[in-house]
Amino acid sequence: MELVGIVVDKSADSRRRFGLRTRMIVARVAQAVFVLWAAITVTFLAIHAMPGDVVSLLLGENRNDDVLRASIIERWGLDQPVWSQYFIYLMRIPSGDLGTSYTLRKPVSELIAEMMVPTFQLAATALVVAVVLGFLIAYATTGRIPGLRPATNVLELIFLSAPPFWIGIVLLAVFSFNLGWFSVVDLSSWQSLVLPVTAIGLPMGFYMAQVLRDGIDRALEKPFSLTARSRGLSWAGVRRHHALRHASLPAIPLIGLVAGGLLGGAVITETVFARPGLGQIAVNAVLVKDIPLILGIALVSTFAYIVASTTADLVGVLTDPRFNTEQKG
Amino acid sequence: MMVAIALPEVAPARPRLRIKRIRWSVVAAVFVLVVAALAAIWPQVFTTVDPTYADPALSHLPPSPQHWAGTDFQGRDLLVRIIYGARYSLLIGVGAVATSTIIGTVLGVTAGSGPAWLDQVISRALDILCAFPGVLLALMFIAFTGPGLPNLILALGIGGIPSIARVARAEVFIAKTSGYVEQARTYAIPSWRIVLRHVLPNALGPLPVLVTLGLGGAIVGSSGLSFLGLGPQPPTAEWGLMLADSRSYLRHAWWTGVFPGVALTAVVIAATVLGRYLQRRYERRLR
Amino acid sequence: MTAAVSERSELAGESGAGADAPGSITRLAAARDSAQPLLRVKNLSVSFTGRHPVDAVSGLDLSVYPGQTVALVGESGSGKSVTARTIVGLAGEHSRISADEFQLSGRDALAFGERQWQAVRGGVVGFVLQDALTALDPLRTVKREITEVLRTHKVVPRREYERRVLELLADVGVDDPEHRVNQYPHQLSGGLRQRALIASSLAGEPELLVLDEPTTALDVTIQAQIIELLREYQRRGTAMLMISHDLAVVSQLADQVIVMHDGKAVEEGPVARVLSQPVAAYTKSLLAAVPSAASRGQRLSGERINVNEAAELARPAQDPNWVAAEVPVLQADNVTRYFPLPGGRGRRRAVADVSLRLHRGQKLGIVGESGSGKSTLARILLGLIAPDSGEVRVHGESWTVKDRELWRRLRHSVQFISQDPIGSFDMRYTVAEVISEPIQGVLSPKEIAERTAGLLHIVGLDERVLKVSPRLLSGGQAQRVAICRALALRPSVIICDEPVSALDVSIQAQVLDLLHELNRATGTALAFISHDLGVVRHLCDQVIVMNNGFVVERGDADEVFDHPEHPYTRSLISAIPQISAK
Repeated sequence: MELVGIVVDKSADSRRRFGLRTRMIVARVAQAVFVLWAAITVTFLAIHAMPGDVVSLLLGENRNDDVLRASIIERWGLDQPVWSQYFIYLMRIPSGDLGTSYTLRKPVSELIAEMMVPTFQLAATALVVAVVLGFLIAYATTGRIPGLRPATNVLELIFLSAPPFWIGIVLLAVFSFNLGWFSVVDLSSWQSLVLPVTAIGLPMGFYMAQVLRDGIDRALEKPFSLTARSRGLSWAGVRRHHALRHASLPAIPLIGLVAGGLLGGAVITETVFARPGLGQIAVNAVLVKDIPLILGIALVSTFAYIVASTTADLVGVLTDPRFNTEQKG
Repeated sequence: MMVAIALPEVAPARPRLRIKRIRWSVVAAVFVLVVAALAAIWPQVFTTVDPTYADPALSHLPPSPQHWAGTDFQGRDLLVRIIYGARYSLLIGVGAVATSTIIGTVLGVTAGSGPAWLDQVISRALDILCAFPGVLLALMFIAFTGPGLPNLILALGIGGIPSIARVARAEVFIAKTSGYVEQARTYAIPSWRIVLRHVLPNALGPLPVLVTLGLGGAIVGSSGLSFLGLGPQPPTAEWGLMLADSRSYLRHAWWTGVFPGVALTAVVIAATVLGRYLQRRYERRLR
Repeated sequence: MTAAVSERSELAGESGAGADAPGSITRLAAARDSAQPLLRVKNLSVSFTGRHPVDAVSGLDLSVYPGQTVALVGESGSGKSVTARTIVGLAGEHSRISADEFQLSGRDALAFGERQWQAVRGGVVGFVLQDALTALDPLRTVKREITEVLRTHKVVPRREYERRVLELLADVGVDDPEHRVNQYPHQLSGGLRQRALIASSLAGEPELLVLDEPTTALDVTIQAQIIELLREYQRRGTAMLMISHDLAVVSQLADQVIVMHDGKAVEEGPVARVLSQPVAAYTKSLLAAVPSAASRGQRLSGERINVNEAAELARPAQDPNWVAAEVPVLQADNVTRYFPLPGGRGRRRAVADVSLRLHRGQKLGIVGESGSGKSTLARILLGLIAPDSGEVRVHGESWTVKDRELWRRLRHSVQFISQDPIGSFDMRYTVAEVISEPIQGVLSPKEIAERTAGLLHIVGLDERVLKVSPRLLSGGQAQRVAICRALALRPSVIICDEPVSALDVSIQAQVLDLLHELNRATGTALAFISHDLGVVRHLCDQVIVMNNGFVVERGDADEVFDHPEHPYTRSLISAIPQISAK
């Protein structure tokens, strides 16, 4: 609403060529690039802030292997000053060279590329489920169906509070072991996705629903909703044509946030269902202190998260006409 | 300015007095939290059985009058272990929330009341912190620092810093630009005194709400890390760890996978219910 | 201003030929003389159940005949808005409505189901809410908003939507409609927005137009344009039911008026009779409360203070260095202040080269429309914002003075009352703490308690409010507490920023009387900022008129108002609606 009161000083015309929307997009992309750089830098600093020497840290269990040691020193430029080490690192990461996992004796990028597919499959499916479910629940509960809302509130409270891995365990116990509906053993079939997707998609769906429903409720209390009804629109019509759009706009950037949450959720859920994926190698990497692998996974998922949230924010800015400050007349 | 004039014309007269209703959901939530806290501090109140006492003869007994929640594979009483398990879940949860609250508040208040460049620095730092998805941030932290209770608490606490810091910063801004601070300046009250007297007390008002709501998330997070094997190690009784153990036996001992989760969820629900109640009360106070 | 004139003349030109032309918007009230009312309500009662039961309207009779304009007048909580919403069946979820008779366009509205109501809304009754900025959906273009009515009521076939929308916009005096249809509400000026909203309410060709405070959110010059537009539709025969708190606007537009108070009609009749010879005591007090040129020097309400007590407790602190009478208590010299525009798009001049002098006991009015820079000026005078150039002096001493002790005394001699008193109270405080905050550390606790109680007595509040939280105060009580607090330090000047604009007219009258009496009793000077020329004319002896940050005219209040010289002042003054039957 602050946007409304902008009075442009006609004398200061030179900087007006770009509208508010353009400037917001540029600023958001710049922020994303900055954060990406900062994330890489933070990981570099973390390695160097650790007690002990960097080579041993990177080698983990293999710290006594002299051949590996020599190759690490060469690749990371560890015989050079810290500044050039940093630049070597900074150049290396965006080119996709994330180092080598010395416990698995494989390049990190290769390991991640392999494991990324099932994880993103799980997270993306869950995201679709969460968004669709969110809209359905929000739309249904803002209608005037008696009793639906309190019932949803209880479900929502449970699903938003229960840890997703426990939901996974309960689903596993009921649907897989007891009823035998969805096998989780054959990982190639779509059935194996159903329970994991439900375990993380359902809570996120209720979360989206909560945000959307609050948005719809707020929009319905606004004067323009009264105006719309005074034009002869039905309650459902106002919800469909006015309130839903008002509720969606602030929810779009949230999808980025949800995507991040799902990625994190996927890590734990993979362990519950014994699915291969980033989560599994990440947990193993932490347990055996495979630092290059951990860094690689953190950077890749951070990159995915930044891309998701930036895209969501940009879509939000592009679809909200209020950011169009161009005064056409 | 002109818009505000019209407002009182539309706002319906609101009766000023409210009849105090007893909110049973809030009473229940407080009860659950008190019981959980008591179990965490003094589990002997509820049971005299040793949580690590194992009797292989009693392996995987279903719930019965002797063992209300059944027994696990090693024949340990599940209910006793759930009671003892409250200690770690709550300790880690409370510790993590305390960490994020203290650091987050200091950062947020500094950003909100300090010079513009400092605000920029802190805000950008928070952006960076936000760029790592929560679970991965904790995993990375533990990978670097190693397992152990303090590291676990820090790992979870760091993830909660940005949200608290951002709220604190925004609230400081709201208070700083408020009418009462403007008034106080006209009395020639020194600005440090205005900050102490008006800005901080008003800006920190929503903290109890955030702390309560954050507690649930921290408990879920701590049990998640334990579930992955990064928390307390066996044979410690801890909810996440118990759930991790249950996975291998779910087919014939469903109770081992259900009851620890019920306890966990109940505590989180209680924190959420209480937090939402505090939030409603806080928001009503502002209107 | 020229645009406004052309908009108006365009309309006038159309009215001659337009009424019967094909595609004309309003249905000509052929039945104007027939005895059948469009709306007839007998003994209407509306109450709200739920957690806070309220009887909003009780026993109201109301009829609107074709071609007639009826006005419901009252203050907040009088039930006028609830009545308007009830007329279109939108009183709300928890409302209970009863009436002996409720006829809309010859049909029994009490028997309407949701479907029938939907056909009535927009089709039989058009509804205009008060603020177009919030009453139009901010995410939709003007075209989509108006098309919504056309589609809902199937007024014209789909392929004619575009043409019809343009026609409607041209009809309400929107220039360049082809351009405007694709704009969003935030891209339109306040006047154009209001016109677009009116166009959308007329799109369904309703028989009756319900207007809820149609001009309240507008600046006075825009208000005059919208009143002129509505008169044009009256001439074409549109029947209207308007809701307003503003007697002057009502006198410009209405034929019949119903004065409401506490949900009941206290008086009704032709507008000329009710406004010139009111019968009900409430109507009389309401009319007497309107500040204007005529009310100058008179009381608007029954408000009275104990002059001696006020003089004793709140007379400006006498500093021996400040007694020279010729030094103004407050003085601004060529003050200019810029504000950066959001996103680094240059800067905007909020206050431009403003000079003023305020002497002991004077009342200076600072007048301007929204965005004229008057609130920024207030904060510069208070020393809260530093000017980019120029200087403000208090008792001859600049705000930039280095001596901390002197600076403190300067601060104490200029106090502030804002438009939003509730927002200026720290909600964690009690009323006593709010009032005594300025004198904490200046006086002893015993003196503070005595002084607080004394000041409270002067502004006519009961001592019992001292212990309560300020959020329990009504708007009028809150402003009294704010006045109390402003007086606590015995200031030489009080700067008031729109202190009465959020108040109902009768409460406004009391607060104005209070300020006037306090000024007389204590000699505290007032700098009174307002958009309401009537209020300034009533209260102030000096006036400056601001436009776009500049002072365009200044002088003796009577002189400026009676013989305005600057064109802006003239347009401002001519735009003020006067209470006189149309």
